[in-house]
Amino acid sequence: MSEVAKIRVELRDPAKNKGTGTKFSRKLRKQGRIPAIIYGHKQTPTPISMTRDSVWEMIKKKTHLAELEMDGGANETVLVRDIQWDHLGKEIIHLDFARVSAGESIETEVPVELRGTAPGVAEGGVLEQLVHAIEVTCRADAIPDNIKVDISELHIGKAIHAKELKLPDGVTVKGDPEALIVHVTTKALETAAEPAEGTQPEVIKPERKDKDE
Amino acid sequence: MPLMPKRVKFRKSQKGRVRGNATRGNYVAFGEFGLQSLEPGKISAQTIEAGRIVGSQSIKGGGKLYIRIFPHKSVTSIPAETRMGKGKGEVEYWAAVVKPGTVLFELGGVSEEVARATFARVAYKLPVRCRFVSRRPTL
Repeated sequence: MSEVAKIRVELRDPAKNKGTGTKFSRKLRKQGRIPAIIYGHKQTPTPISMTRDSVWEMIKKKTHLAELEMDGGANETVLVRDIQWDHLGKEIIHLDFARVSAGESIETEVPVELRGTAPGVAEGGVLEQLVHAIEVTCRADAIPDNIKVDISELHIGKAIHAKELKLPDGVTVKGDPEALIVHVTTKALETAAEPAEGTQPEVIKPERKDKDE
Repeated sequence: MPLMPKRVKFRKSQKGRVRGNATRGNYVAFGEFGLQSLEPGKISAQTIEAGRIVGSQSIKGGGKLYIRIFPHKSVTSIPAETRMGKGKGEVEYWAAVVKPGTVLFELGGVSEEVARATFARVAYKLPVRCRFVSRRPTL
């Protein structure tokens, strides 16, 4: 499990146009800060803001949990629930944090990392990873950094499913155990483009109801 | 065969304008790397096919190429030396409407080096400025 990121945050006024809202959020982003919110544990949601650098540091460390140091000296342990990106995926525009306690059971997404080289690729197959991040249920203080998948036995036509993953103690996969994680398929044959002169889509015509009926 | 819808409610559509940024389909979802549009525009089915061909030639079957856009919009035109009027022209081609941020193609099962080289060749075929993107970090 990776270390908990410590981030200094500033509280925002929950009143609209004073500490929240589009206009104020844009102003914050211009100042190099990112608006965020803390919710959960049946408490009132707390709007906060933090520096862009501290968020990027947290992303580089790949930490799920963060310890937020508030202005008044209060600390909150939170889980990164959602990250909103801009349309190009370059900048983070908002963050959602969920309050968690150490022993609490939580659901989060953990990246799937492939280990080794698949012999199926050397045999002429194509390695296809269908799931890059898997949703797991685990204790908040024991979130794995990643789920390692050994592909050194993966020949052509073989696959690894969610139920076959080797998970750390206390971690269970949420969702379909039959879900395909990674497989080696045969190379797709190149289909030559055929000239399609005059072919047009079928037009859906509304069904006409006869008045006599 | 270039892509086009199988069934449509209306054969011809109004021209419209491409406004705003992509709020959907703006991240790498299937592969590991993607080619993202930086400009608004319309990409014809023929151009998508050209991109697909050059992309698959470049990876030499070594990975999987995903096409993330589909030409839903019909573009009409009137023949040359025709007098104005007499109704809307016939459907000339089908195009995909692309907004800044839209991921056009994706690649999986290849190294970053191969993906960059492939997408450079694909981008050369496209009428919009593009950039190379990777998956967003999972937290």
